[in-house]
Amino acid sequence: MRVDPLLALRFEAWRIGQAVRAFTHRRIVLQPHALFVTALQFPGEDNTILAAAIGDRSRRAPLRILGTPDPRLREEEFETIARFAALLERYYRRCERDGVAPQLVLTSAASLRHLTNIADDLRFGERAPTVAAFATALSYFTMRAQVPDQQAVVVMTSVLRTHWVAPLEPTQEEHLGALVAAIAPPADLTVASAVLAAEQFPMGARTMPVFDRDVLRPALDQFHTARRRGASPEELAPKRLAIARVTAPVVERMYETLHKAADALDRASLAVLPEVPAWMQVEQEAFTDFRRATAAGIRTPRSDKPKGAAFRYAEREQADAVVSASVECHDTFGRTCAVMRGSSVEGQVADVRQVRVAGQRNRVTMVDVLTTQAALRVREGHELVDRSDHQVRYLVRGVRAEGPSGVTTTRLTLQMTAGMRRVGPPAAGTAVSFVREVPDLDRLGRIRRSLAQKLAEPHWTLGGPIPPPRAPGRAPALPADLPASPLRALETLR
Amino acid sequence: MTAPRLSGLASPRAFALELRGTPATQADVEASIEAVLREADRGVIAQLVVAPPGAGKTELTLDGVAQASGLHGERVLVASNTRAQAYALARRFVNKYGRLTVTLFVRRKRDVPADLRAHARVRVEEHIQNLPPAPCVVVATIDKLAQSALVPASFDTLFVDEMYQVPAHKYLPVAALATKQRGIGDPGQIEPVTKIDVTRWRDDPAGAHVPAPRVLQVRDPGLVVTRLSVSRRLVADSVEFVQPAFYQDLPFRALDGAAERHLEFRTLARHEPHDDVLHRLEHGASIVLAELPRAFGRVDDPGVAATLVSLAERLLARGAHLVTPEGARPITPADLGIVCAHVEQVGAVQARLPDALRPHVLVETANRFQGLERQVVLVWHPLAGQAAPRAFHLTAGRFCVALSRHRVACILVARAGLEETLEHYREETVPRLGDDEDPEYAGLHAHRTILTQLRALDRVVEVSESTGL
Repeated sequence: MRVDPLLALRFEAWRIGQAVRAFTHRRIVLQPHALFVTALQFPGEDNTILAAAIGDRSRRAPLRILGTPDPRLREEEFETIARFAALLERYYRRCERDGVAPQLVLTSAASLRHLTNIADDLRFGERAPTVAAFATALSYFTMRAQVPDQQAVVVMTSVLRTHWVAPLEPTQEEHLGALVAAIAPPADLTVASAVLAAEQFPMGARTMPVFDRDVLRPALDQFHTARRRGASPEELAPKRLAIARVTAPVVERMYETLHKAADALDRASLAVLPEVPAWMQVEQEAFTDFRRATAAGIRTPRSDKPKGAAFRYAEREQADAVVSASVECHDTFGRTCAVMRGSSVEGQVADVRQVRVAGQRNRVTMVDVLTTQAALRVREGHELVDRSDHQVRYLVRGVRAEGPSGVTTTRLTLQMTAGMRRVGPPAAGTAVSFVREVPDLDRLGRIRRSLAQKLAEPHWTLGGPIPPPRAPGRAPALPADLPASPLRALETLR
Repeated sequence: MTAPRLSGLASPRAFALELRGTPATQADVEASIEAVLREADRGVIAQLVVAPPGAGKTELTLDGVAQASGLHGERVLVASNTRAQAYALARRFVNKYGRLTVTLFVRRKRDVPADLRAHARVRVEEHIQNLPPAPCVVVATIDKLAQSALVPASFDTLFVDEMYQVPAHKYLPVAALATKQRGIGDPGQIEPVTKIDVTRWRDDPAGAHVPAPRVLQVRDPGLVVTRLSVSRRLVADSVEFVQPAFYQDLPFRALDGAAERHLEFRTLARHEPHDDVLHRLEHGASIVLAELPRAFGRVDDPGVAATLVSLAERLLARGAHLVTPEGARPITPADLGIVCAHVEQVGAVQARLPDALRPHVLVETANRFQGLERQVVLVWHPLAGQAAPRAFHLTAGRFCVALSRHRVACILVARAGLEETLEHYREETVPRLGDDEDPEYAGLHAHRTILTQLRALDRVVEVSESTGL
């Protein structure tokens, strides 16, 4: 019977009443320069910034709190955005100077959606070039965020949920405060009460309805009443300040929770997947390309043309494949999941023999492996790689269920295709562990080159004009008197 | 659909639904092929052949390829989804067209089956510089072609076999290799699997994730679409189930009825519960549902696995014979197939098969069963024991593949409560403007249609738990 390892951990978390560890290796490394951003939208306005807290992981730079009394007053909001844009541009320049890829750390998927709305809705606006430039700059992060397990955008709830399974409902897990409380509850509180206390404060992009009604609205009313009666800037200043005083603590609390989450992650001392440095390199290249394109006036499109879609799809698919392979190869929990799913094989060598194969000069090494896995996604013709040494490879020549009826025992007959001389075949009785894929970091490059070559010229399937019908020629050496019926004509080729 | 013509259990064809309208003939099949080849003779830029299960798609592909290469003198590229399909195509091509040669373009020569490597008219090449420059037929997988250094327009015509299984993002780079495009496929099959989030392209009808035929339909409004209307594999009774459930836009008929192909059980035995299922098969029903008592839980439900195995054993023990106008022959274990929805179910069934059957009975997931057929197929119903099914279980393509692999009989094994499961299903996908496909609704419709019809025709047989492990 297949057991879902994550479900099993979930039961355990509920049983013991606290979060339990899941994946053992980090896929994302928080950079010391990483930009920590928490932002609130104005209630009901998805692409606005009511308040934002901006700082970094090292906390060397002072925390910046930005705010707009009412972002529906566009000129006021544009000022806030201009200040945010200046901070972002300064950060990008620093990354360029230091030769590192920028990294944005957010509380939850809701926060990412908020920034994505801003990037998508405002980058094509003509009215305010500063706003469009900011949205374009932001689109670097929001587009990269769509690539599986990229390093540019860290959604903290998602990262924590990878490494801990908490005794929480799925929607609760999207609340960073609740998640942090479940992972590292304060000494004086139980997990349940710590979670309950944390949930009283917003952690996404929206404020609480009670806050809107009892706190924000009265402050806003005072501001607008003063505005409407033509109050001077000096008279309006305290009203603005009153709004900032109620919104700033909200984003600040979120910002501090973000740091707490990062601290919890650091304290866990999780090993890092070996491919992470290479992924950081990919981010840096993506950032360089983005800056070059932006400087040339190219904006990230809202939707893709066929060619762009093919590249983007390939990039995302490859990223997903590399991350999955890396997790299966290196992460203890990932390996368990892969075995339960059947995409990895664990078993014991039953037989090793040298056999002659028709058409081959040298004898080949065949290895029989017995496995009792209930799920097995391995078929004839698949390649298997030794998990401990990726240069040792096998070709699956046979998959056969055997043993007494009722016991799932499968015999895999494998032909050793690489590693014979360097490592040699495994001895009978040895425990072995195989994966279908190992991380291939160069593959995307190869695919991109191939795509660039094939899609270089316009083709009608890419949306170009359809060429007129082309009357086919006649193959040489055909008899002169071919029948009129194509089906009968084909008889001459039999 | 028309009302079932049941004339009482005593009649040998009591359960068979007969052909509606004019029966299909071999001449109809040839006329369809002829029509496709004539369009190619006109030199149309794009051609899409839409075919029901068992319509002879591969044969038509071979004919089209032979026409383009052998009669028109073109450089022809044939793209397949898997290596196994590429090998099968090459093998069948050289066997059918003895005057033509085929080149298999592969990643590693050593992976190619020995019979193909040794064949005088099969060339096996790993590098593009070794591909023949003159008119030729090159067969390769989509992946191999996508990753190769082949340049655009290096071929005249591209044939894509099983085109509905190819996603647009894989098809486009390969399409660029030839101006003329020929696609053939079955719209009822399982759509390409996407592992990544495709929200970005969901409102694009020719988006990166859609099956390749939709790209042709969007890019070429005048696309020549030929619909094959005869299934050679399915008997008339099966077509009456499969067509309305899965192919509302593709009316098709069967070449054979129960008179031309049916089962007989020639070994007398004491009555056992499973014999009620066999009884219906013997009396012309080609699709029957064996319904176990209601239970929810494990994906690899031991009760379903044991029932599938005991039905297979009972079929053989009762001396099942395939009867055709040419005569009768016994059904052997190699004539049997078991289609599952999950990999774990494959393992559960294989573990229960007795030694004598295990090497011969093909047990596979629906994905792996695509393109294959067996005389008798037993199906692990995708919704069996699912208290809260997901879109995966409801996929019309998966169910369609399972219900269309048999030539003479198909036994579904499920648990009671399917109606309630369908009734309470909550759609997962949020509709989006521009994305007109609703696979979950299509799945719901298909499951409901099949189930309603099975009940109406008395094809549902209650069976007790088998004493499996």
